[in-house]
Amino acid sequence: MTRAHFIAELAHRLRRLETQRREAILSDYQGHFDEGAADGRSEQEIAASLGSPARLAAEHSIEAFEARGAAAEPRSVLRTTFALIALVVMEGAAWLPLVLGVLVVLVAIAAGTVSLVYGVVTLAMEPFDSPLGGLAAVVLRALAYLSAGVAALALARAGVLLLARFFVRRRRHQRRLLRPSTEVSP
Amino acid sequence: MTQDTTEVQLKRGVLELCVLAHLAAADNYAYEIATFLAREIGMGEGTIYPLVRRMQTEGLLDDYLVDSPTGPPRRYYRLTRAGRARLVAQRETWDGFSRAIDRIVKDSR
Repeated sequence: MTRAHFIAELAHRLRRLETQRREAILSDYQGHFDEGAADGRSEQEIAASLGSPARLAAEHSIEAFEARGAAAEPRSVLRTTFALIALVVMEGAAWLPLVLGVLVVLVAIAAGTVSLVYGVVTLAMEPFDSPLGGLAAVVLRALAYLSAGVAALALARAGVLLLARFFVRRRRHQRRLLRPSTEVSP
Repeated sequence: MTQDTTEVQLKRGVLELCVLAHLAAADNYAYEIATFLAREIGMGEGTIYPLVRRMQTEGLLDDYLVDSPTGPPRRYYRLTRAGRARLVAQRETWDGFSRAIDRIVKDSR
C-alpha cells in the first residue's frame, strides 16, 4: 500500500468525524510517513508496519466517542456502533452479545416502522363508517399504532446508545488489564 | 481463542503501561515511541496514535512542539502528574502479577 493509498483510506473511513479532529489524526499519520522516509524506509514498509487503516479508523472513532462522553449525539453513537462491529469482526472478540444486541435493535426499528405506517394507513384509508366503529374509534386506533411506533423507535435508539456504551466500557476494561484501584479519575 | 487473539488481548492490557514507562525515562515523539514498541513487543506502529490521544484525553500525557532538523516540528509527549501516579500504581500491579504468573508457569515445567 502506498502512502497516498493509506491516507486516502483512513480519510475516507474518518469522513464523519469533525473536520478538526480528522485533520489532526491524518496529520499524525502524514508525520509518521515523513519520519519513516527520513529513516530510510519505503512507503510500503511504513504502511505495512502502521497496520490496517480500517482498524486504526475504528480505534479513532471509538476514541472520539469516548472523548465526548455524555455529549455523544446519535450520529456518533451509530458510527461508534459500526466501528465496534468492525473491531469485533477484525479481532474475533466475543461477538455473540453484540450480534444479539444489534438484532434486538433492528427488530425494534422494524416493528416501530411497521406500526407507524399502519397508523398512517388506518387514518388515511379506513372509512369512518366502517363496521369497526365511527370516527373516534378509527382515530384512537391510529393514535395507538402511531404511539407504539414512536415508542419502539425510541427504544431502538436507546438500545443503540446502551450497546455502544456497554462495548466501549468493556473495551476500556480490557485495555486496563492492570487498572489499579488507586487511579486518578479522568 | 486463537493464539493471535490471545496476544492481542494481552498486549492491549499492557500497552498503556509500556507507554507510561517509556515516557517516564524521557519525553519522546510518537514515531519514536511507535517504532520502539514495535521492536520490543511487536505492536502495530499505527496503534500509538489512538492510544496517545486517549491518554491525553484522560490527562495522563501532555505535549509540546520541538523543532526538527529534518522536517516540521515534532510533537513531544510527557507524563503529567496524573500520568506518573498511574505509572506507579500500574507498575506495582504489574510486578506482583508478573511474578506470580512466572512462578506458576515455571512450576509447570
